[in-house]
Amino acid sequence: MNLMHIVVALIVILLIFVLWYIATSNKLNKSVVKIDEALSGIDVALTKRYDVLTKMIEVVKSFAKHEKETLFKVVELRSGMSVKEKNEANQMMDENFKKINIVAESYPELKSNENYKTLQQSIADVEEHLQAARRVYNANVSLYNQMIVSFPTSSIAKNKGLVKKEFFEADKIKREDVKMNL
Amino acid sequence: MSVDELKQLQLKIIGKNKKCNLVAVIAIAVALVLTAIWYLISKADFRFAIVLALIEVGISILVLVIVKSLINGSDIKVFNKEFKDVFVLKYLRQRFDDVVYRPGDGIGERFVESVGMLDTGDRFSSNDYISGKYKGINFEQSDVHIEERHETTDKDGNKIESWKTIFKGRLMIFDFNKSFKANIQVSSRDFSASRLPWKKRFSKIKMEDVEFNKNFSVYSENDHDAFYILTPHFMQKIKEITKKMSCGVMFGFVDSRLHIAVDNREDSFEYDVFDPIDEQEIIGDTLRNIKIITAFVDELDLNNNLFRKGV
Repeated sequence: MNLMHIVVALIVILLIFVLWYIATSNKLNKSVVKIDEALSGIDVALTKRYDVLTKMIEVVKSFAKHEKETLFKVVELRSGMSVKEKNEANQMMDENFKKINIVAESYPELKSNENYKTLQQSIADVEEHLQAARRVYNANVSLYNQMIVSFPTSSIAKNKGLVKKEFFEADKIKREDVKMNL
Repeated sequence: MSVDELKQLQLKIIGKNKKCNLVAVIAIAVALVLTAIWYLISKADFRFAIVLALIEVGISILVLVIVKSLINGSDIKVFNKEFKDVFVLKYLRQRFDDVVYRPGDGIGERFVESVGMLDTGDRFSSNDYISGKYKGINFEQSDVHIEERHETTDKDGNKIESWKTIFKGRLMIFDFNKSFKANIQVSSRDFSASRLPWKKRFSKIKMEDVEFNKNFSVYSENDHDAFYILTPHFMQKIKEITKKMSCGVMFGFVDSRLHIAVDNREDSFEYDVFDPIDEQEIIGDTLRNIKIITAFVDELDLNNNLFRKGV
């Protein structure tokens, strides 16, 4: 084997490495974009949930003005919230929803109110959308997290400064939401 | 028409058929005997005599088919119509509301094309159109048969045409209890129909259920709607009902309706006029065919209207 062969072999190896680097880097970039898209899906679903819950709170307050349970938590949704903050906002919405259900239990006329019934159906659908958005986001995060810890992709991820992403957690209350008795 | 009257009509058809067959056999025998006598007397070429005999048999069979259709055709038509009224329509009406049953019609090729769920192949036929309502869910269904044309050339250069079935079974359309914008296609691994049109247009989606991914392919225009429709609970139901069907099944979520293609290689609600009428067996068969419709509504919980009236 002469020097020429060694140089050609090295160039081929280098070329393969560069192509692999570009392909893997693009894959990671795509994964990040997909996570961002999924996160915006969560934002949309959270905003919808917030809107419907706000309407429900208004209806509940008009029926039970003097109840302690009508002291609902103030939920703030703003742009640029971290996943942790979104999780917290969602948990506060869960608590508000729990309170709405407690008040509704004591007011049969509220449960039979057409507006309230429509909002209950809406919240069930909104919950399904939120669950879908959460699952899309978590599926993408899971794939991304697996990629950035697996060698040799992990070395490129480290180079690009990519770190593990947080999951959007689901809790029991949200699952119960879609099982409401209408 | 009652079952007894139907049996009488069947006996009449079989009787006429037997007579036709007997006459045909006698005619063929006479023709062959005459040919043999002619051959012995004239001492003609043996090969010519064989060809002549074959032509006589061929003509006799052709005449037999024409005569049979002239004599029995209208009776068979009446029998088929009455049979479907007695053994199919009656049970459809018992099970469903607002039943429309048109045995000769089916879901159209253009509709199947517009849904984009199945490739309509080179030859498309459908029959046994049924529409109605079950547990408040509107549905339509028909038998569909799709074939592909194949052409091969033999060693002498002759072109041989053949037809391969790519789908044979039921196509059902149900109201769906969720509204969605995207087009989502879910097909079981053993769904053999080739040239599935949406495979090229949509992206493959991986769900979080490993078993589901192993047994089904999901294609959709967007991830969110696929996850919205295919909840863990719904995926479980799809796995269960597909297992029960024991054949390839495809679910198409298009225009907020659920389209289901069951490739069971069967032509449902069909009966041979010359088979003896076994009431219990035929009723059992009809109920089994009806159950394919009800099973999807029941198992997939399609009448759950939790999300239908959302604002």
